[in-house]
Amino acid sequence: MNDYDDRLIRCFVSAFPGATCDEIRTAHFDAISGWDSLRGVTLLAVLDEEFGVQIDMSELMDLETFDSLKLHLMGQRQIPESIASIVD
Amino acid sequence: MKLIDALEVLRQPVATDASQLNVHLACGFTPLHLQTFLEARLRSRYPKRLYTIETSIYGDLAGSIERLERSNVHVLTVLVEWEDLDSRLGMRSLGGWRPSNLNDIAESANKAAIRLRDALLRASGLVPTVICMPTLPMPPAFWTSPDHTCPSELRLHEIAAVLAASLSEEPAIHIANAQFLAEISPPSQRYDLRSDVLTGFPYSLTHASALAGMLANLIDCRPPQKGLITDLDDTLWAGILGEDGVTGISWDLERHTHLHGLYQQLIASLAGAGVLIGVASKNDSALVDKAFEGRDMLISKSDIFPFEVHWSPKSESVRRILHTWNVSPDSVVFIDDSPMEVDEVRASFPAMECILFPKDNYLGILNLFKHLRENFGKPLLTDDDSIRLESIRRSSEWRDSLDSRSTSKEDHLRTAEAFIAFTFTKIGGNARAFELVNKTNQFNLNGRRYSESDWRNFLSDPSAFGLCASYRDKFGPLGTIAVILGKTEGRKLSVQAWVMSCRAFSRRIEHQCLKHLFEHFDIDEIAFDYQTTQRNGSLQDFLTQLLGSPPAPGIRISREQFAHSLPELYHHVEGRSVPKTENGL
Repeated sequence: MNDYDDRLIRCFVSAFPGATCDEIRTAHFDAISGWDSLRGVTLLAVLDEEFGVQIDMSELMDLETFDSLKLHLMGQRQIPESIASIVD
Repeated sequence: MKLIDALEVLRQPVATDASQLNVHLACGFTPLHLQTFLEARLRSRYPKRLYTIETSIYGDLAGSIERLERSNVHVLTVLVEWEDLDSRLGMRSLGGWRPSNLNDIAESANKAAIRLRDALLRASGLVPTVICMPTLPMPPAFWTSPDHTCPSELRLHEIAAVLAASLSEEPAIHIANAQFLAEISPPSQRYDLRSDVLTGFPYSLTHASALAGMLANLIDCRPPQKGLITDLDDTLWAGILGEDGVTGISWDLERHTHLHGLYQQLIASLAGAGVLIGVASKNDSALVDKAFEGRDMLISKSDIFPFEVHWSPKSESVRRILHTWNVSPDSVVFIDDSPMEVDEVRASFPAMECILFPKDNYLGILNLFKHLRENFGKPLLTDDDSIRLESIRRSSEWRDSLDSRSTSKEDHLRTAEAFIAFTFTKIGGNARAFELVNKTNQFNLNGRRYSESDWRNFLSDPSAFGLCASYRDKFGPLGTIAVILGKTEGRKLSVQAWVMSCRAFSRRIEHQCLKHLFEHFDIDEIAFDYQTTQRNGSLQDFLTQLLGSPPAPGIRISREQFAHSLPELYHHVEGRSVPKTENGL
């Protein structure tokens, strides 16, 4: 487990205090203990605060799992803002 | 505080014996992260209290306040945003921003403000109420350029200002300070359109965090500091009195010593608000007298007591001042321009805040003033605030007189020309009584503290009463010096709280209080909710004298027992005690 994983796990645990780390790593998001739309919105806000990445709820649900989300966040981080705006 | 940190605070367990404070958060939008931040901020301030935050139906602010019942709510917190005055002032509404709409928006906002005012006045009669007026910028609904204020915009600001001003005089309403909020949360960084549109939560996380911190301070405010001890030379004035003489010291623009004038002005303002002001100065006392009498200072000599002016160490002066005030070091601030003196006092009183006066430092002095306001600010001024220092001065004279008189203590009490007035306090009717009941001094029945809502809840019980005693004698008035909270049940009475100001000791006021309870309620016995605390030695001595043995939890005193140990009382009891049934409580 690396620092990136730790930060991401911390985000999930803060939004879903009843969930275990194993569950967070393996389960589909909507199967995590305590999942509801309010906690989902909380998770999105915490991710924005921690990683500076804005994700919509539908986008999050499409990513489905922890690993996909991690790859998505890492991918977002790898594109510098100046280039991303040109690509857009 | 970041959202992730707030969520972690909320994950921490609360003690099972924690006292509970229920906050009702009313706002027109989804409170979402603000609710999280608010609970976390409150928990961070008082980890041993259990906070619950309930919210109301979003989108109907006035309606949710109108429907509020006292039930189990301890504090009502209301956030008014522009869209609560007219939905077209929010970005989630598509009601139209044509110039022709603006007059109608202002008209409807005025009607909404009147409805809100009425609802808030009613609610504040039930529970203490914290109100925050609009914090978000107005939408770009006006036909002027952003740097040009539209008349309609000014009209809306006027409506909000009139609403706030009309509520601010109510003792149970506390209005958040917009200027302070602007310092901790810049207006341009408060609104989050994406969050507003997608989730209905309009605040940026940084704004929600800052606003929650401010609201937490207002919901569960800490008691203010009590006293300030200041140096004179190069602090209250510029110059060294012993070297420059009375005419050489200054606090004016001409000699670039204006900061000392501002300091005098602030200290005088604090004194007027009931803060105890003392002086500790290494100086010639005759010269200091001349300086105060011969120069037109912004603070007068009568605002200060005591003056410790001599050449002994400052810590000795501070010790004597604390003794005269009868306050603990942690409730006092010491200010001096000498780092050596500041260190010496700090070493003797580690719990006291000791501040180096920021001489010739403009930013430093402004920060000092803000800091002093933070330490000494209080939600309400009472009549007793204006006589507190004078009352302490009179008490000191009383003690000196007692020490120096050749006549006995009995003669002293007999000739004091003492008057005691007893009054029953109503819900929200006596701010001084509420302040007094939270004093943890030497005459406190059990040291229990009451929040504003605890106080109101207690007095709302039909069997409960709150009795206040005011005192004056030939030395001057002491103001409201005792408060008793109790309940009656047939011919028995139980006392849950009894606090008396230390200024009132040695006058047998405590005896008169019990005598009054026995006579007024015509009861046979009083039970006390007594607990020994680290500080209530004076109360222990009094009860020991009455009972013949040291007090223990659950003590009771019968009418006969009390009459047997009652000394001669010389007070004139003033006024008529109005029983609860007569004043409608």
